[in-house]
Amino acid sequence: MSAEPDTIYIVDDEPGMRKALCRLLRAEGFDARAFASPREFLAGYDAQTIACLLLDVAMPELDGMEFQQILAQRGLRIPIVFLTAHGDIPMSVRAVKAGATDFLTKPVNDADLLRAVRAALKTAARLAAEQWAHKALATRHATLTPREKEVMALVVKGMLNKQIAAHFGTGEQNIKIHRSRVMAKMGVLSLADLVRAAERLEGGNSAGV
Amino acid sequence: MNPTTVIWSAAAASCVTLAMVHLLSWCWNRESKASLWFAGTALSVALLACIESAMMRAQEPAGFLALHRWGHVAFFVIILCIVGFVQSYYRTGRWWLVWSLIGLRLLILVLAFVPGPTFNFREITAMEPVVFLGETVMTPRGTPTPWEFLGNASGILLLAFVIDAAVRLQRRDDSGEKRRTPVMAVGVVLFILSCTVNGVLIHQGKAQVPYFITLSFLFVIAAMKFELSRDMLHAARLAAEVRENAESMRLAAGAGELALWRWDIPRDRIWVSPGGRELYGIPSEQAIGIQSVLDTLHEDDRETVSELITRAFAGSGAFQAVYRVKTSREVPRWISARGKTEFAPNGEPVRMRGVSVDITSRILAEQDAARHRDELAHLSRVTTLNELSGSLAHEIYQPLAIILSNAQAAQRLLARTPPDLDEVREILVDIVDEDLRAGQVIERLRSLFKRGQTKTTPVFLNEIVDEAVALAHHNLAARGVTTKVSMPSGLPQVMGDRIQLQQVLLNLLLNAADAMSLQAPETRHIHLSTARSGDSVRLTVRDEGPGLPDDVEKIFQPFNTSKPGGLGLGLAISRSIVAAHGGRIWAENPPARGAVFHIEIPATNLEAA
Repeated sequence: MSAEPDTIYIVDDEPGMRKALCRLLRAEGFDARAFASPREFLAGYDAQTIACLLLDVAMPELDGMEFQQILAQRGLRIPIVFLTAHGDIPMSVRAVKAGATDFLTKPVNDADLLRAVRAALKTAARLAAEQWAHKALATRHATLTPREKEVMALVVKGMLNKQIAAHFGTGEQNIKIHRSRVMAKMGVLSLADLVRAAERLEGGNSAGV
Repeated sequence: MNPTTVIWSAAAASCVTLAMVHLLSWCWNRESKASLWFAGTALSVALLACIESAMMRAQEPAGFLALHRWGHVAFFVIILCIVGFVQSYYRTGRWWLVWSLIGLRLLILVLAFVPGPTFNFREITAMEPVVFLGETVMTPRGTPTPWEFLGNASGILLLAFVIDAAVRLQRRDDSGEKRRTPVMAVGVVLFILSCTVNGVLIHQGKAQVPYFITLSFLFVIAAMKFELSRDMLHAARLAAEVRENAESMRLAAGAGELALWRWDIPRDRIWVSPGGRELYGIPSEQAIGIQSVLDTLHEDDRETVSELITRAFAGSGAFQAVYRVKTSREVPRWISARGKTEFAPNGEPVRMRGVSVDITSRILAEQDAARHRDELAHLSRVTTLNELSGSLAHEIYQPLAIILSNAQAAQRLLARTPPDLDEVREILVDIVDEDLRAGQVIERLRSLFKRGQTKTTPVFLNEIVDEAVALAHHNLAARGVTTKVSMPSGLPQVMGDRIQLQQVLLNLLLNAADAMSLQAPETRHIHLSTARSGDSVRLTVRDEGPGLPDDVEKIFQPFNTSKPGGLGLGLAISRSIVAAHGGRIWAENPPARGAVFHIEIPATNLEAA
């Protein structure tokens, strides 16, 4: 990992639990930041860092599930490791379905906790990388002229140069020039790469958490 | 026989008879002064009758005058006795009227005896025969004195005195005395009228009639007799009632559940009604003293009863105790005793009278009811705890989770070089705290699950609230419910069973959370507060749910539930628990939304520190 320690956010209404988790994670070299409620977390969360969230399921005012939905609505894609009291199976099923990275039962063993946290951080890193890649592609795509964008759309649909020329009512040679500019601007060498880039662009934020 | 002789002697005879009767009655009961005064009046009237009868037959003015003077003596005594009767019977006459009247009559008496003219006649010239009631009687003929008005004045004074006394009697706000209707006043009015007419007729020479003042006095005698007879009738009725009561008491005492007793304290002798010996299991031949009664009591009650007796002697004399008497059977006999001490003028207790009642069946029924209530309370508690099971598991696992994470953090810190010992020390402190907390939680749960008898100790309601809220915390939190607690410090303690009070509160908290389950999480609030309310401590639980049905009382009835799968016993049991604490629980819909439950439990005398 990077020299900067990874950040782990902890949200739990029990002060003793917050303190213990912070100690354990800091002893392991993580940057642990604890909050007593989801509201406090939202105020202190830095979306730029690679981080994961250790979330207590049961809290007054806003339970973990509802909080998960709020995060999704705000487009905050932080991987969540749920912590719950003993034996709350229906809740764990719901949480995992809603996209929780992991679901741990208190009392939690350090090995399980660290494994879950590391996995969540890996997801966070992947998400960050994907986001970065997507951003780069979008930047390249933005440099295309409107005609080039239209040509690219038809190319990735699998149309031949001839068909595209007919569609625009122009010469095949013209289309060939547009097509080579598109390839150059998008930074791809083959048609297959261009199709993948187009898919990614279209997919947008749909990459799983 | 002549009609006048018959009438006057009959009047005299009946007056003497009445006088004798009431004289005897006075001898029996020296308290009834009125009887004595009445006897005096009647005797004097009888004397007057004899004098008048003789006057009708006086042939010479000298003899007539002598009789006339003695007539005044009789008259004076009669007036004196009437006044005495009114004062001793009504007790409302004005003393200045009494003294003026007696003074005036005394003056008349003196004037009647001065030599020469009498009070009424300057001189009597002759005795003339007239026909009266078909008989020839003698009447005087003479010149009247100017003092006649004194006689009339004394009549008016007497009238004023009696009417005033009667009016004041009516005004006095004393129902017992009011019963004495002023018939007396009517009698006196009639007497004065008749007497004045008689006097004017004779002294002014308006008509030739003999004196018939005796007959006028008969009105007064009749009125007095009427009053006294009413008293006697009343007394007879009271006596009948007393006999009736005594008979009822004997019946009750004979039933074996009630004993009357009397304790002669200086001689230490106790008399009990026959059922009493049976009640205490004392053989009928044995003499009873206080020690022999105390010996029959249950060992644990002896000291308390002795203490209560001492306290009765030192205080107002009232004695009241509930204690057990040893019996041959396994169960003791419960007795409730009440007594009253009589004291000698020097303050020494002389006698204590009282009654003892066997209340064993009542006590057994109460114990039975208490046992049922405890069982029902336990059942309801287990149901509540079942509902809370997730929360309770959390309460136990939470400290364990904290301990585990702390301990594992410590292991890592110790593995470092150099180990971070300061942090490890802090961790150990936290571990100890959490371990103690886990112990407390388990202990609390154990007592909640335990089936046990009600144990009443002084408790702070604030602590009950803290503990119940802690137990339900996770359950409430998981349902998005926030509790807001506002409790002043310094509230007095209440006498109560900690577990049962917690149960009542847990039930209210869970009900409140259920009521708000369909609304947005940020509106799910429960407000808890405690406050002093007169001699009680009040606990209020308010939610922000949809409120209660209009018929609020209905929710306290058993099997009344709005929850699917609920038994509908929670509030009914809560009410019986609170009632067993001598308090009350009630609900209402506040003006704003939600429902409010109040619990009030009498405070102990101990003020909070």
